[in-house]
Amino acid sequence: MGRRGRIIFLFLLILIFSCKKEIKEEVSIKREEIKEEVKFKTYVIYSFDKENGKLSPKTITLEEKENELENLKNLLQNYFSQKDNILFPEGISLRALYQFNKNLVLDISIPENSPPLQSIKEELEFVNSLSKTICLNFQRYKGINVLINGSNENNFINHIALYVSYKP
Amino acid sequence: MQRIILYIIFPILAFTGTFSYEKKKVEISVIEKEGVNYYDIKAILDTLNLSLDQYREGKSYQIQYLDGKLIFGIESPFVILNDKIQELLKSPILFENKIYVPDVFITGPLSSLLNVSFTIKGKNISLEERITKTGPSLYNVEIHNVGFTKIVFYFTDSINYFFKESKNQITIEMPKNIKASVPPLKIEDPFVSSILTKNNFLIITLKEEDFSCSHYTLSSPFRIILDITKKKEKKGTFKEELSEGYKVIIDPGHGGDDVGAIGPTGIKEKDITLKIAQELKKILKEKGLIAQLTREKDENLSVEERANFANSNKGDLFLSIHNNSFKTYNIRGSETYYLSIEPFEELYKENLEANQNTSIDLILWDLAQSKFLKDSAYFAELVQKELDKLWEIPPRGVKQAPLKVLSGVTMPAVLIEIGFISNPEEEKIMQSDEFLYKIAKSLSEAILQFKETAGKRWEEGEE
Repeated sequence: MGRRGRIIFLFLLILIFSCKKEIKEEVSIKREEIKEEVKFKTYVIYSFDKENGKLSPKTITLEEKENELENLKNLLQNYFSQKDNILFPEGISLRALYQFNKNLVLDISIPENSPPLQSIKEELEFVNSLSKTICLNFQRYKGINVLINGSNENNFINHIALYVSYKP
Repeated sequence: MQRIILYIIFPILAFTGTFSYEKKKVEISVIEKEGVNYYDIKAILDTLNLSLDQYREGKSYQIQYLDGKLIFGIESPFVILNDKIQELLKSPILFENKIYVPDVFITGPLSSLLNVSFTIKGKNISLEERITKTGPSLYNVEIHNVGFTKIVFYFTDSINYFFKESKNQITIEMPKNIKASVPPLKIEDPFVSSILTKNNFLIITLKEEDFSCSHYTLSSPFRIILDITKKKEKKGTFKEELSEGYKVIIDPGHGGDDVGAIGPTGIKEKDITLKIAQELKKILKEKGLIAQLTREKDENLSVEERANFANSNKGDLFLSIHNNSFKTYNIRGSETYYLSIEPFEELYKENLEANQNTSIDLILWDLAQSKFLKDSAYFAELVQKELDKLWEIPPRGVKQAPLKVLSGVTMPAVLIEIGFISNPEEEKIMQSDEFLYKIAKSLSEAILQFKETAGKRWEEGEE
């Protein structure tokens, strides 16, 4: 290999190493980007405060999902799993969500053996905690409609009409 | 060749066309895109004195003509004509802030909506026929029995009408230009045998002559509502009616399998409410009033059955007795509820917007109580004032809620929550017959006050 050949060989080596370095940097940047993509969002949820006998707000931070609907589902699933809200029976879960005009229709699953809410106050606090939590975090919804196990006629809520919407 | 070059440079070409209607000929903007003419719809509608409105947060537009509606969206080949979806070959477009519709839109759905035929020659459109802007039209009739018969007539716009009763017939005379397109009704009602439209008359034939009918209107949409009941035996002044038989319907909450709330020591709400109701009935009888209970014993009764009982027995006042309860023991006190009507009104509007009639039964129930809200609020104040005297705790006050049992009652109506059965102290006191008598006595005081003062307000012509 002549002098010229060596120079070309050296140049090629430098080029290969610098390319490798760039690729490594690129990979590490991408990894950082992936790390940064996991974002979190803070919501305000309402639970019944045993001390003052009223609904009280507290914050909850959850991983931000790809769209609003997924965020809403995620929030409700977490909300239902919180033990603070004494009005939510054990086993309460989300069946489906629909949008009706400016309202969110919330279809909630309540286990069949759950005792019904016992008074107008309990029923009103149940729907009010949901309407406040949903409408204040997702302001496109002006009110909520609640279905229990797919129906607005059920034994869990007896006194108040569920065929009307509730606003915070 | 020149045209092809123009298309390459300017994919949309703008022109001026004309729209002729009656004796008017106006210039309208026309654009040509991919060889198809699109016309400025706003200019056409303005000439016809029709409006183009935004529909649902501005995402689409609607044209309304009499009781018909045409909804379309920009860049969407689908239109909704009177609730039926149609597909066009070309979509409306937005160009320089103006909405342009293709020729097929004008000759198709727009022609159908207006019931006319447009002629399109190149950039020019003409309409030979005249659009008839008739008066309001009657487009729907509903009939329901909720212990009495309620007939609702729906109109596209408000009208003046004359109401006439004779023997077994009710006649509503409407303006002469009214358009009535009501499908034949299948009537299964204890009072009404037929409802007919004849020219500008609505004729309601009843099964018997012994009836009384009240009529009133509601807006958005305009409705004429008839409430038909059997005539009362005695007819006199309001004062005479009061002294001769003021009827209070007392509804002991829950019953049968539905025990209601249960106190810490096992006291059941259904038993307490029945005891108070029975005491109250005795006291009211002593005072010369008629009192009827929706249930006299421990039995199941739905909310509809309770309201039907009150309506068919023609009560003057309705009082539903309940006990409160909560999962924490520290809450206590009595509260009085009357119906909050806003959620029902919103539901009604939403159903109208979505063109859903599934909840119409429930809405009609709501209309039943709407006439009595002021009196119900006043009665609730009187009841709460009396109950507050009994308790050495801060009053919880008068509240409103969309309560099922109150929504169908056609008289002033309230629901009382005597106290919190979940609170050990209040549960204990509720086991005392003496205390239950005191509650009944307080309620009777409120009823007597309402009877006196509401009567005076009526005689003085107040609302």
